[in-house]
Amino acid sequence: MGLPDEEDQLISKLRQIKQEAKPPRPEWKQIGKERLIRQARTVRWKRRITHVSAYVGTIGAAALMGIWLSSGQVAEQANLSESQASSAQEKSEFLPAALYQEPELGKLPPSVVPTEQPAVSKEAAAGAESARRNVPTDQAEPVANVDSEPQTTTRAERIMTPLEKRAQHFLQEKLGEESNYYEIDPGHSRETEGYIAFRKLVHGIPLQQHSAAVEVNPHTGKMSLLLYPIEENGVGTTASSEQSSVIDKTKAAQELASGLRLVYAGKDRPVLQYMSDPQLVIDAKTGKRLANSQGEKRVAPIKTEGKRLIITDADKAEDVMKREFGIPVSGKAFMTIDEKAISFIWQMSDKREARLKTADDGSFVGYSLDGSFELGGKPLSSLQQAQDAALVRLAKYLPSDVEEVLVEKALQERGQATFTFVPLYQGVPVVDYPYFVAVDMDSGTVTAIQGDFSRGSFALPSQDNAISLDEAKEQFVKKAPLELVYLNSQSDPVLVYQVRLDSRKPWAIDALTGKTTE
Amino acid sequence: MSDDLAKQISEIYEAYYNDIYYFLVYFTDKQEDAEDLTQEVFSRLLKALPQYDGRVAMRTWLFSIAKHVAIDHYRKMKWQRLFSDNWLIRIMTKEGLPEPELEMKEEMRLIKEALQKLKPQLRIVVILRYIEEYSVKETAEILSIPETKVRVDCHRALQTLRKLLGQSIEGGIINGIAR
Repeated sequence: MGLPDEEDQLISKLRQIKQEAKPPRPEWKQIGKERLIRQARTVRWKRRITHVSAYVGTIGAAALMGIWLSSGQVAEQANLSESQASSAQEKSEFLPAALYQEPELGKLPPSVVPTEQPAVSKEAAAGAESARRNVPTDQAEPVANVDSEPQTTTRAERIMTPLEKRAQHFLQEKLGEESNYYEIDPGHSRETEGYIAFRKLVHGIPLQQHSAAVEVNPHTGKMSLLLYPIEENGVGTTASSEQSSVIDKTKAAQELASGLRLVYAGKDRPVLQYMSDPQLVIDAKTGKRLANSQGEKRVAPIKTEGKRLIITDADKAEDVMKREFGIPVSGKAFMTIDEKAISFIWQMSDKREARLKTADDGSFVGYSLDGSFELGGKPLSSLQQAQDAALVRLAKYLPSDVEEVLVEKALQERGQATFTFVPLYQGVPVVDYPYFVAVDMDSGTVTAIQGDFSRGSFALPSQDNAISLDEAKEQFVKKAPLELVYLNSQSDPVLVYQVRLDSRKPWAIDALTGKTTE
Repeated sequence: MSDDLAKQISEIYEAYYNDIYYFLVYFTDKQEDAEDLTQEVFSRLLKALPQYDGRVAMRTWLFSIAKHVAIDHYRKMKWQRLFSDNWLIRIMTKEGLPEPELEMKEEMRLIKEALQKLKPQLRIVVILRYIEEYSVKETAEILSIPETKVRVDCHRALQTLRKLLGQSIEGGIINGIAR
């Protein structure tokens, strides 16, 4: 090897690959072509929709201008709007109705929403109007004192995306008039995954923990509706519609600001931020903080070892389970691979199952046990004992520069204690590195552990240049996006103020610049 | 306009489908993957087609899209290689290879295997230069790199292939190359 003629031979062999390659399957080629042509037509539709939307948008803007210029002539505007709508509708003959109608409604100001609405109750109408306009309900409702302070707490009126329009149309199809009680919740939608979230409205105000979601299969386009919780109509009707006595937003913001804490946020390059406590809410009538159901967060000391485990194959996985964790697995592991992790699964007699997870580079991510594993432990009598057992296991694999962890959650139910720990780096929680541990109370066995154990240490930016907590509170009171929602407690829903929840981008203040993350 | 677009894309599809498919089948060594990726290439082309101004030859443009699609695919499949040297390979050898693979000459199988072990950029150069038999100039144009880099990459790729094959043959299974 290495001589020029050998190189030529290699090239000649490479050329032979051409003869070995399987030719394309004609039927597949044809299917692909047809799909492509359909895509080309979709491109046309999208363009036309854009053009029509732009056209309708222009008309909407003109109508708004008209209202501004000649207030008191609403009737004329309504007529104008109708004629424009019909004109636009002529243009949209080639469009599916669901794709066309909503944007126009969404753009019309409240005074020109067509009056030929289904006969629904006053509350339903309020909810429907809010849902259609998709604007913050605390602004849509005439609530006394709410907007007395010039805070930037409202969302700009937004235009629905095509997927949102499809999802809303689907919701209307499935729920009928009931769909008027739902508004799109962009903060919890994952549009790229075809998931559009809705939240329920009561008296035009969102009811927490009552939601709907429409999922659109990206491959087949099929839609499905998820409702949480599944309930009878009329939920939340016991909620008081009396909103005139709610406290001032500034007061609520001042109270909520007390939940601010300095954290390291972010996965790849954690940055210092002041974050509000997402669990914290303020009773809008009394101005008092409502109790946090997850208990007080406590700091626990920990002696970490920073041990790293790399698992590259099934033999190594078995070895780690047996020797490292003392879990007697048997039989060949079944392996599954998804985008985030590789799992080795042992299914044993008596419906017992053990699972070991690694990241794509083989780094240990966690394990979990299902079923009874006799590991010779002792029964535990308290949550504190379970926490100690959890920390002993965790300590071995946490980065060596972690000396304390924050106990974010500690729950005991059905014979199992579960914990979520967050490491503290120089006293500041690294919130996007949570570690989950479950302990069986009867046997004292750690039945599950999961987290990012790939880091040997946390090298994070210094806190020296962070703005003070008082400065952060000041920013919070000025800029935090508060919203009024009903919290569904055991009894009647309670009207509360909370920081608007957005699963994609939690609201925070950059602790170095003082700017908000929005 | 849309009918134009549909007509235009179907003409391009008919004209270049095979070129792109074969490039991707050499890259992935899997027919199903190559078919899916070929579709992805034309799908991406469709989105950009209205902006096509003809300054670059259509074939070159398509190959440059295919190159990106292939590299994206390589990144997605990276985790599989973590096991390719041990666990998965052991399963395959224990449980028998699929029929078409059994029929394949050992020599060609090893060359294909070695090609799959090349880094994606080098693999692409080898495919274009030695399998598709594009000239250095054409390869450079498709990959938007200087001709000198094509030559250097070709040299590196061949060296790596020889090394990989040297490890695989263990005493000279491959005819003509091992001798």
